[in-house]
Amino acid sequence: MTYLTDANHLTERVIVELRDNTPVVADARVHLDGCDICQTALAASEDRAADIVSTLTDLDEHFDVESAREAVRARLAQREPAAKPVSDRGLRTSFWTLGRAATFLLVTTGALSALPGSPLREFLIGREAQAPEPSALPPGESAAPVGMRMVVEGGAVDVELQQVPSGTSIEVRWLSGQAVTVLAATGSSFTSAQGLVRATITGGPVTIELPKSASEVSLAVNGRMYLRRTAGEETLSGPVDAQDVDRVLFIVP
Amino acid sequence: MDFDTTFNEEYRPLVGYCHRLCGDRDTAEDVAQEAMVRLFERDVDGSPAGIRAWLFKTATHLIRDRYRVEGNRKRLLSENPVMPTESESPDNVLEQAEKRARARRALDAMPTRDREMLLMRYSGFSYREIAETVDVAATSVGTLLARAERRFIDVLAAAGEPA
Repeated sequence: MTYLTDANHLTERVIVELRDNTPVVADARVHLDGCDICQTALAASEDRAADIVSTLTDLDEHFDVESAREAVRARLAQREPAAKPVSDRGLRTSFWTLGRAATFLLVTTGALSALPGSPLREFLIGREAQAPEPSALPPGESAAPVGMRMVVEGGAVDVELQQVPSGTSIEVRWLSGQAVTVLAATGSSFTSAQGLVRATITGGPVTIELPKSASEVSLAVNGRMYLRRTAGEETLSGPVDAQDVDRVLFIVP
Repeated sequence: MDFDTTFNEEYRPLVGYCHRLCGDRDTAEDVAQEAMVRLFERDVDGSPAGIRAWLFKTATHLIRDRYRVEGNRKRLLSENPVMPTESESPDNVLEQAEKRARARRALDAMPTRDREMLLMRYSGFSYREIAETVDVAATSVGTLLARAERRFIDVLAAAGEPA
């Protein structure tokens, strides 16, 4: 991207970057030193920034920090029991898409199969469900009793979902540990190979747990890349509907 | 990570940012407290700057989730309109309230991403940290920020407030 306009002056972007002490190409600084017009533009940008600071400061109000401190302490104390693992496998995060049942058993179907050499370790997962967040699910979707869980060996895993119906919600959660888990509606089928989980989905909601520790992770849905994480760098290219720090919700178009 | 030290350093700027971002005092306090709770609950580790960036990013996403349905946002604004103080207040208080209302309207008129970028920038975050929070390339931040500032000032000027 060029740093000069057609009129041979610094672009607005470069002016803003210079003002904010963000690295710019060396030639831009050379140009600035010899151009009165750009120096004037930079000064105007600095004035504008000062005015914005002043305007935003007008919005500020007093907040009671001590009350907030106590409120945070109370919330932390309230949540302490909930932070404990909910299963003996140490998976501690709740499944907010999985309905209201206090306990349910994941049942794998006959369609579940593993490719030769599969690192598949566990097919059945018993899990307590914590209180769901009711706004998360699009209406009409039901709890998902079918899934598979695989320990990621080698730190890389690709998840491929096929034939996912339009409107299906796919929730991705990042968890500690080394396992990848995929859950979907009854009738869905799963296969796995080294570093690969492939599922044919009959309906949602779909829930995918991915290990934070994995070096490389990708999620492809109906042949389209939705998510990729490499060396801690996450790229979201799917239809994101909601996002939190350790959670992404996609809705398949 | 010491609770009191972190709280003393981070809560006030965090709740101020949330308030600027969402325009609702109660929501701002709730979100800022929730972000602090998650910080300690998850035992997030890092430098003070990294922890601050984590808190602001978390709060930004929490507010974004709450206002994901635009109708909710409009409903909230209609229930809690930003209005100047009543006429019995001194002139300078009234003037301040009017300026605040204009600034609020200008922020509310901006696209979500522009608003987040502008407020993060003026909370002291780097272009890289802004990029990570709003999910854009770091190289795009300068362009997008310049546009966001222009929009903010245009709307403010249209409302009679020379920024």
